[in-house]
Amino acid sequence: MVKVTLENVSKSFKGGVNAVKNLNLIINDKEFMVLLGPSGCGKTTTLLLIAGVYKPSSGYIYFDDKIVNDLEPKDRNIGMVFQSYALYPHMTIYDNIAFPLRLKKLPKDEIDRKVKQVASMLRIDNLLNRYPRQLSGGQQQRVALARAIVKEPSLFLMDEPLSNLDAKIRVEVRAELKRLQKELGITTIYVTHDQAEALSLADRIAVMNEGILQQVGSPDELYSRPANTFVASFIGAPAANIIDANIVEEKNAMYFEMLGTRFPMPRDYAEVLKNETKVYFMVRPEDVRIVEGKGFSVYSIEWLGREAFAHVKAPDGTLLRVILPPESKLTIGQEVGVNFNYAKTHVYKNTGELII
Amino acid sequence: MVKAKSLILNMVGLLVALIPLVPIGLLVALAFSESQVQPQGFTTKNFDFLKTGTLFANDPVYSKLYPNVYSVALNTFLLAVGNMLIVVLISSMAGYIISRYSFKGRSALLGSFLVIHGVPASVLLIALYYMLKSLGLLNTLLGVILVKVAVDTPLGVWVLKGFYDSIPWDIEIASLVDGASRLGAFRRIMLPLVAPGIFAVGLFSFLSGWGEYIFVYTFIQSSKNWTFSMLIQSLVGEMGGINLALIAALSMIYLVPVIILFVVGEKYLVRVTIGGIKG
Repeated sequence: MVKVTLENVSKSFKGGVNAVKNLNLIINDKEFMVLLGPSGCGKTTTLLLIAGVYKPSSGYIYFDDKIVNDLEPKDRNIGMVFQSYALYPHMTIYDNIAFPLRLKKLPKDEIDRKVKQVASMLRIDNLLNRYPRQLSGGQQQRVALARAIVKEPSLFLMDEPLSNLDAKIRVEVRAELKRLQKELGITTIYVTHDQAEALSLADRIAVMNEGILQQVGSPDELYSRPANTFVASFIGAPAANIIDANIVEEKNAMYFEMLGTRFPMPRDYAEVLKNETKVYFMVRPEDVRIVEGKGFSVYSIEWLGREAFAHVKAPDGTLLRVILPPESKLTIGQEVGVNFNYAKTHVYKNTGELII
Repeated sequence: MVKAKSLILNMVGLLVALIPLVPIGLLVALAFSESQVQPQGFTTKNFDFLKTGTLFANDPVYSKLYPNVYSVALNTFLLAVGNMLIVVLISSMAGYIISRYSFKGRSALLGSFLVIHGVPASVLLIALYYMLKSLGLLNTLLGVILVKVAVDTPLGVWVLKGFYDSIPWDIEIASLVDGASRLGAFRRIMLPLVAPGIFAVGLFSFLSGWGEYIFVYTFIQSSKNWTFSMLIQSLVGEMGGINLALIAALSMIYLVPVIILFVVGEKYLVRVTIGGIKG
């Protein structure tokens, strides 16, 4: 379909807001790319830059090898889906879906055939004579999808399309979206602030914060090797523990001094961290091990069926998030010790970059 | 209990309705009255002017003093429709631009619209008189239409800007991405969505032109360019109220389009307050 390349793209608005700063990103042909970040991080601006609604303040946007900076949205062959669905309220569902085809001035019978085909694909063929306001949110989102698909675009842009749906329907539509994208093989750029959605949908994820690209990678890469503390804290639920730590050396042994106690450092860590003093230690809740011991106490436990989620209070008062096997028999207030699965933990500089 | 409540509500409604109904009732009674000064008996002779359009048809002196009623009606209609068309044309486009684009002086412009709308028309009369005179538009309907447009447009722009504001950006972006040009998106998506607002602005500017008095009185001298308000005023002023029944009959004719518009437009106007778009 199309490969999208963003080269040093920046966008600033009047009043000095720099929404996107020097963004370099390649979205491969047929790829499902998710732009992930908190609200106001510049992800929607990036999407609108690619759509052509905004023009970049500097830098270049390529579709394949062609610079499209000055190409009008209508000439970019894009299908777009919005959080608000953005259906045309004064048109029937049929007319909504037919709208892009009518603008292309296709013959009437061809329009009719295509509208009906895409409507049956998305199981909305019984709704064609209704108006958007008569439909449920899930149905409206299917119509919006149909409108984007029917013009056979070379690129899908989706701006939080599932955020307005309730949880059950969201998971349903999510699975369908992924299947549809693979089936049609259309390059897709999908914006969301929901990391679970990003992990489940994406071939690759681009994490953004304050207009700056933080990390690009597969869901697995982002989860197991986050490039900085922002990505580490943003991806994963429950959120990773990011702990202030001092590195101390005593009698030729290295320790993490954190949580009001000391943890001896594994050898591979010690070699890399020789010259550091203050760092962040990152450990995901499932990599914290509860052992027999003293100093830590169980603060709260939530039993979730497949697992249990606990807060454990450290000697200095910090609450650690911990995921436990469901059969663990801890009680609130019980005194315990804590250890970590160092194969999966990471250490970051106090400016946020990954060390190991 | 429910019955009593609805009975009371109906009584209150009736009382409130009485306030405008009494003068209108008097007007109708007088229009069909045999007496020229008070409601008395029933006759349609006061409407005789409808046959030829000539007032005081059997008085050779008076009949020459007054223009044909049908030409007066046409003038009134032209003023109202002209005002409506131009105000709608300008405010539907200007409202869109002010709603969607940010440009230098945008908020100053919006503020000035409110101020201009608040200026009483009568303070402008002398200045406008000289302006129209130097443009050669004095004593023409076009001159009055232009003045009316200038006075009515700010409110129209203001109202329609509000309607455009209520349409989410997403809908417009969707249409652009779907293949519409900026102009196409305006015509196919935005305009239909603000139709209730355009209807309201159109209706009010029509009625404002239809009922206009002070500008017609000041800028029009020749009776061939008179409108209804002028004609009725001249009958009151110069005839010293000799034939109130005739004035009432003319007034009823004057009211007909207003009543028709409100009856026809009621459904549409109710939608204006509800607002068109649901997210």
